[in-house]
Parts: sequence; C-alpha cells; structure tokens
Amino acid sequence: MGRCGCSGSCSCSLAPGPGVTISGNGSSTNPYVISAGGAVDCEVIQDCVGAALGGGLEYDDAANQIRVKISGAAGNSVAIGGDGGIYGAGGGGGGGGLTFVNVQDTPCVDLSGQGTVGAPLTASPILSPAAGNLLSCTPTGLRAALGVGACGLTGDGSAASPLAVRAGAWPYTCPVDANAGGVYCDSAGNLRSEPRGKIQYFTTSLNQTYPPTAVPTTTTTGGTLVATRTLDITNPDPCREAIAITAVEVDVDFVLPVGGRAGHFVYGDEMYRAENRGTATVSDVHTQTTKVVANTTVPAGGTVTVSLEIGLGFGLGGATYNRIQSFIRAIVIAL
Amino acid sequence: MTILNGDHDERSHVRYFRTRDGAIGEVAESHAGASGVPGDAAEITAAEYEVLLAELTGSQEMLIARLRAEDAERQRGDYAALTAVGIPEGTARRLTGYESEA
Repeated sequence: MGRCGCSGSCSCSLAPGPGVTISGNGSSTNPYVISAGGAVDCEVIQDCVGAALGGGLEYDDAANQIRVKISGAAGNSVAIGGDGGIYGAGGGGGGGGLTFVNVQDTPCVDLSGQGTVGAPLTASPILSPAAGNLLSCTPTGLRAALGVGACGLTGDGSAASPLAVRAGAWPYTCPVDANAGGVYCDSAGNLRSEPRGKIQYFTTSLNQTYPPTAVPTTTTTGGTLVATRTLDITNPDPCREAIAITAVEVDVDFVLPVGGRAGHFVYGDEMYRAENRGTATVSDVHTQTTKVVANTTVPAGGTVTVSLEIGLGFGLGGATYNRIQSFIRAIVIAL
Repeated sequence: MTILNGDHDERSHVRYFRTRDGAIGEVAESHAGASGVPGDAAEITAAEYEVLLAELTGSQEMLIARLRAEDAERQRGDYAALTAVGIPEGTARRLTGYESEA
C-alpha cells in the first residue's frame, strides 16, 4: 500500500486472520506490515491431526502421543517389540523393525518364549540327571526332598524337621564327654567307631634235657642263673598300646643222693628247695612252680620280648639236675 | 572284641635243638619263631632229638643205678653195724633203709 502513493493514510480495510497481525496504516511512511506473528499452539495442531487419523493409529490426547493401535482381538500376536518397533510373532524376524527377545540359557536355567503375549518368556530349572540329585520342580517351587534310611538319621531337612544324627541317649552315670568313644569317617565315607578290642595269646614251652649236671652251690639270693627263656609277644592292635599279662612255669628235675640238696629260682626268687635226709637216693625230685609277672606294655603294633630267668642253687651232697621245663604264657590285651 | 587265637595252640610249632654242652631241647610255641633258644643251640630233627634223648636218659639211669648201688652198700654196712651192737633187726632196717635179705 505504501507504494500506491496514498498520502496520509490508506483507505483500504484490512483484517488479520488467526495467527496474523497487521500494523501500519498503509501510508508511505507507515505502510501496512502483515506478520504471521504470535505463537501457534502445538496442542491445536495435534488435536487437529489426531482427529484426522485413520485405522491402525490412535491419538492419546493426554499423553500427546500418536501411536500404532494394537488390536485387542483374540489371537493377535502383534506387539511393541523390545526395540520399540512393531513385532508380530511367527515371522522371520529382523526385518521391518521386528525382532526377537534374545535369551541365553545357563547351566541351571533354560529360557524359552519370545516375551510376547502369544509366546511369553518362560524359565525352567535344569535338573541334573546325576544319581542322587534331590532337586525337583514342584507346583510350589523347587524342592530338595531329603529321605533318610532305616538307621542313623532323622528329619527331612526342613526347618521344622532338620536332618540330624539319630543317637541313643547316654545310659551311664559317668560323664559322656570324658568317657565316650569317638565316631569317625573312613576313606569310603562310612562311619567308624573306635578300634575293635583285640586279644592275642602267645605261649611257648621249652623242655630241655641235660646230661647230669651238678647243682650250683650258691646260697645267696637269686641263685646262679642257668637258663634264660624268652617269648616274643606282638601287639595285634596297630593303633593302641596293649597290656600283656604273663605267667611263667618252671620245673627242674633233681637227683638227690643221701644228704643232697637243691633249689630253683625264678627271676631270682627262690621257688623250691629240697633236701634228702633219708637213707637212699631220690631221683626225679621236682615241682612245678608258677609266677605271674608284672604287666608289660606293648606299643601299638610293636613286639616285646618277655624273658624268664631260671636260677639254681643250694647244691649240696652231689645233687644234680637233668631237666628244666618251662612255660611262658602271655595274654596281650588291647581295648 | 577280636580273639586272635583261633588258629594257635600251644604246640602249633615244634622244633628241636642241641647245645654244645650236650643238652637237647624241644620248643613248642604258638607262633613260629616267637621263642628264643640258647645262643649256642643248633637245630636238629625230631628223629635226632629222640635218639639223643634216649642217650641222655640212659646216662641218667646209669647215674641213678650207681647211686642206688652205693646206697645199698652203705645201708647194708650200717645195718650190719647196728645189729652188731644189739639193735634189733627191724629197728636197724628202718634206721638204715636196708631191705635186702629181709
């Protein structure tokens, strides 16, 4: 209008439409200026566009979103995939923005399904087929159903019935801590108790015949040592020391002429003495003497030699001896 | 408790020996080799043992026979001496043990 040469003002009538402003009066010094000024309301545009949507789309006015409309009809497998695209189960996958939910099994969990309504993601426990596996999947969850045999254990492993050793009550008046034996595991995993008690009997006899030999005249305590007999005793228990109780027997045959005298000793102890005060020789004068010797400790699995010392003395009047018989008997006890 | 003696008796093992001084011995034992023998002993067989035992028994019998002969001679002399001084024969026999010619 400013170019039309109107002076003062222009008589043209101008009216602004929505979103349009007009300034000036149409004169050359103050021409009309028509501007698309003022804010265009986005909501208005959205509402305008949303009202014009066709099938397959929907407008959420509250959320200000235009999106694909998923049909609620039964059997529909279309969904919004994990990547935000439209996903329909059963397709080749990958193309057109559709994709599967990636899953990765572990040794204990088997994942399947695709995370859709039609093929929801599921996880199943993987139960080892190895013998003795107690785990199973029950309607209420995983459970290890413990069973106990006929002897030795009680309980089922639950909080209300914990697995425990079935032990009898200590029936003695003495303290269990100080007196009970132990229970141990062997190399095969079997329970074992203390070593079994063992008893071993050892014996030897020695019947020695001599040419007629003068009886020593020794009259002091112990006599004269003429023979030492021995017996090796072995502890049958490889674990614990044993106690041996030993009994010895000695029998010496003397010939006592008239006025003769003789005696025998065991471990230096005079056990027998005889004297002939008659008028004729006495032959085969003897008696069998017994002595139980002190306890002997035998180390575990070890061997100890038990000795029997035989002495003679009080020889007088031509007394002779011709035989010495002995027994050594030992009971080795490991309990 | 385990009793370990089921297969051992007092004569499970028997052996024989002879020593340098002429003695012989028979060892019977429950466990082979468990008992000692004199240091100078040499093992012999059962047959050898029986032969040597008979020899030693013979020596012993000879000794006793000699002693008994001496006894008899002494008894007879004592008896004679007692009866010579008037001791009655019965008393003299009991005192001396003299029996022959009774």
